[in-house]
Amino acid sequence: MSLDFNKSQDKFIIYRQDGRCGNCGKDLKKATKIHLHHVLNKKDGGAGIVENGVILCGECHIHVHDYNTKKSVLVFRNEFKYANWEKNIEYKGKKQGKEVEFTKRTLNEFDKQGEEMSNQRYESHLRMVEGLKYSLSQLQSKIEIIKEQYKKQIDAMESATFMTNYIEPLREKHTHFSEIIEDLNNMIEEHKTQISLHEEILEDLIQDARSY
Amino acid sequence: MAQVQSLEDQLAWCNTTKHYLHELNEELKYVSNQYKSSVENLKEFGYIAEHMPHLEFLYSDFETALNNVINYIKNEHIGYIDDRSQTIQSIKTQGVGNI
Repeated sequence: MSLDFNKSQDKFIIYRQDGRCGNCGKDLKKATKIHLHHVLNKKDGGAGIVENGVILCGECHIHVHDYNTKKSVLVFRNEFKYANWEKNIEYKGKKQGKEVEFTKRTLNEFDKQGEEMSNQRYESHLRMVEGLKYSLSQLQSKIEIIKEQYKKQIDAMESATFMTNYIEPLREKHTHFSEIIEDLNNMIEEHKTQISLHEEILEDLIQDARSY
Repeated sequence: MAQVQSLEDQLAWCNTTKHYLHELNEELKYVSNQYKSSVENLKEFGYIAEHMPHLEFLYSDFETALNNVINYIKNEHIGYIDDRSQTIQSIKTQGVGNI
């Protein structure tokens, strides 16, 4: 799937927007510059398909990149008031030779490709969230091991009967240390539970995309 | 001779214990950084915007808690063992008997 738009797509998007900027509605003939903008950025996997393209005047294009915070594709698309996304359907119904064929093909492919694109993103998010949860579990194991090693050190010191004057303070320190570790463990457990909520959200989204 | 051996044993004990605690602190820092990277990567790769504040809050909470534990281990435990270590070292240097 190409990430860049071709000339036919460019023409189609201008048609769809009635020759106006997708953001402010300005007549594109009066704009000094125009840009064919990827709604979902190319580096985030945004494809060169008409459903991901909006023509903007130069001023709006700068503005869009200024506040280009990450949002879902649908939220992004809805922000372009003059993009006329629904006009694809009208255009699809017209019989205008090759351009119609191209549009039909693109629209048909979009259902599949667009969902695959979203699905791939959600799956990659899910892997990140699972990786984080795994790291937290690993940390829990590690702190338990070190807590035990610390205790064994104190036991060894006691049985070797050296530093006898410091056994009690060290035992007290270890008791406090164990309490801190216990709190830390509980906190990590709570974080794993909270992160699981994100896992569930992503699994639902992936499931929805698959059954689409 | 036995006293010197005892001092050596005590120093070895301090070093080993300190090593374990350092190892724990390094692990805590490592996972805290991993947590941070995961949240940043999710943001960078377009994770659902409305759910990002929750993840950012979780990380901030985690980082604060871990920093407290790291400082506690450093000051209360490693610091204490360092003191013991220095005492033993100076006794060893002065050639005085067991502590």
